[in-house]
Amino acid sequence: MLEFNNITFKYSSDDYNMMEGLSFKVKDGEFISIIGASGCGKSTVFRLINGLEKPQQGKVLVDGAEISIKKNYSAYMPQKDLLYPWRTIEKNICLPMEIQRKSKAEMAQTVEEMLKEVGLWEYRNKYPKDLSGGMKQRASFARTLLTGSEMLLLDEPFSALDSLTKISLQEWLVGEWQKYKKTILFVTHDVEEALFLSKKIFIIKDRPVTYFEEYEVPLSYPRSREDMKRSDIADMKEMLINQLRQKVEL
Amino acid sequence: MRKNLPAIFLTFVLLILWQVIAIIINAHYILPAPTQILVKLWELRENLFFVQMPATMSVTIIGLVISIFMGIGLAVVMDMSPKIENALYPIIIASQTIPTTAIAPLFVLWFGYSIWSKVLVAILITFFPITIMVFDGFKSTKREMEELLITYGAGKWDIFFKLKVPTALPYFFSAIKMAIPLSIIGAAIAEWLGAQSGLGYFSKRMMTQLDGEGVFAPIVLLSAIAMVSVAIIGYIEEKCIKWRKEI
Repeated sequence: MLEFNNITFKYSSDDYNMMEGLSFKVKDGEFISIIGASGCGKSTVFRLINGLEKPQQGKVLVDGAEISIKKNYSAYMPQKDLLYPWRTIEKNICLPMEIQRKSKAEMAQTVEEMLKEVGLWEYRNKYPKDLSGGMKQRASFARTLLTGSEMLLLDEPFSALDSLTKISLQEWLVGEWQKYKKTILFVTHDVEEALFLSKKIFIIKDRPVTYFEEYEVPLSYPRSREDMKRSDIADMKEMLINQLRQKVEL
Repeated sequence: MRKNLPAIFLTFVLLILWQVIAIIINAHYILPAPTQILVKLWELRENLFFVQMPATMSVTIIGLVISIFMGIGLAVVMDMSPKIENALYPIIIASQTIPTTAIAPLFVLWFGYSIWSKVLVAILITFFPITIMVFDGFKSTKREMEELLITYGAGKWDIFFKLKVPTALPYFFSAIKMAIPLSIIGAAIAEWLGAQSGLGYFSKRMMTQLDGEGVFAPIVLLSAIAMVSVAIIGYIEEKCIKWRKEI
C-alpha cells in the first residue's frame, strides 16, 4: 500500500508550495488515474513516489515503510518512451534487469516471455527508430513491468499517440493490469481515458495541492467502449470536465 | 560519393587555378605547380615514404593515443566531480593559450631531439578537443533518461556505462576526427622546430635549399594522410553509430 502522509513540497526554483499537507492512500492492485490541469503537480506526485524529489515535510510510505529504505518498489513509465536508440528492443527491455544484476539466462527467458506477451518478439532485434509509436510504448511498458515492481507509475504514456493507437493501447493496458495484478497510478489529461481505465479517479483542483478529490468509477472489468455511452458514465464525465474547467485559465 | 562531387569539383578547379598561376609566375622556388609537386613526390618517394613518414607517423600515433587516454580520463573525472571540473577546466583552457611555436623549442631543450619532445607538442595540441568534446558528450545526457535509470535503482557507474558512454560516443568520434589532423600538425610543427627526421623536418630542410617542390611534397603527403585517416574514422563512425540522429 502507498501512503502520502502530510506531504509538503516545494521546488527549489519556485517561491510557492506545490503541495501542502497532502495525504492519500492507494491500496494494492488498484488502478487509479490522477487528472488535473497542466502544472498542477500530477507528475510531481510521481517524482515524490520514486524518490527523485524529497518532501520538505511529511513521509511517503510503501507498505508502512519509508521509501528511503526501500528498493525497487515502483516503476516509472514516462510520457516519452525513452527507449535508448543505441539498444535493440530486446536490450532496451533488459535494462532494469541488467541493473538488478540478473543472470543472462534469467534475462533471456524473461525477456522472451515479455516480448511475446507485448507482441514484439519479431521486433526484438530492431532498434526503436524502426518501430511505430504504439510499438515503442508497448516496449516501454514491457521495460517498466520487468523492473519487477508492484507499483507502476504511468505518466501520460499515451498522450503523444494518435487516437486509434491510443484506444487499442488503453484496452491492451487494462488486459495487462488484470493479468499482472499490479498497482497502477496513471496520470492523464483525458477524462474519458481515466474513466475507461481506472477503478478510482483522483482530481487535483487547487495549487498548492492539499487533497485529492476521489471518485469511484461505477464500472466493472472487463470494460468496453460501449460502457462509456452509459448515462451515468456520461454524466460523470461531464461532471469531471466541469470540475477541471473551473481551474483552467485561458 | 555523389555528395562529395561538389568538393571534388571545387578542388579540381582550385588546382587548375594554382597550376595556371604557377605557370604565369614561373618561379618554382616560390610557388611550384601541382604537377611539379607530384613529380617531386614521385622522385623522393623512397625517402618520404620509408624514412620521413614513419618518423612523423610514430610521433602522431603516440601523441594521439596518449591524448585519447588523457582526454577521456580528464573528461571522466570532470564529469564525476564538479569540484574537479572547477579545478581542471580553467587549466585545460589556459593550456591552449600557450603558443606552440614558442614552447616547442623548450621541449627540445628538456627532452633533446628524442621522440618525446615532439610527442609532447602533439599532445598539447590534441588532448584539448578530445577532453572538451567528450566532456560535452557526457554532459549532453538527457536528464529524463538519467532519471529513468535512477528509478530502476541504477548507481553512478550504471549511469556512466549504460547511458553516458553511449551518449558521448558520437562526440568522441567527432573529437577523433578533429584530433587526427591536429596531431599531424603538432608533429610537423615540432619537427620544423627541432628534429633530425620526419616530414616537417624534411620540408624545412628543403626550404633552406630553396626547393619549392621539396617543401610542398611532404605537406601534400601530410594532408593526404590526414584526409584518409579522417575518412576511415568517418566510415567506422557511420557503421558503429547508426543511431546518431536519434539522440
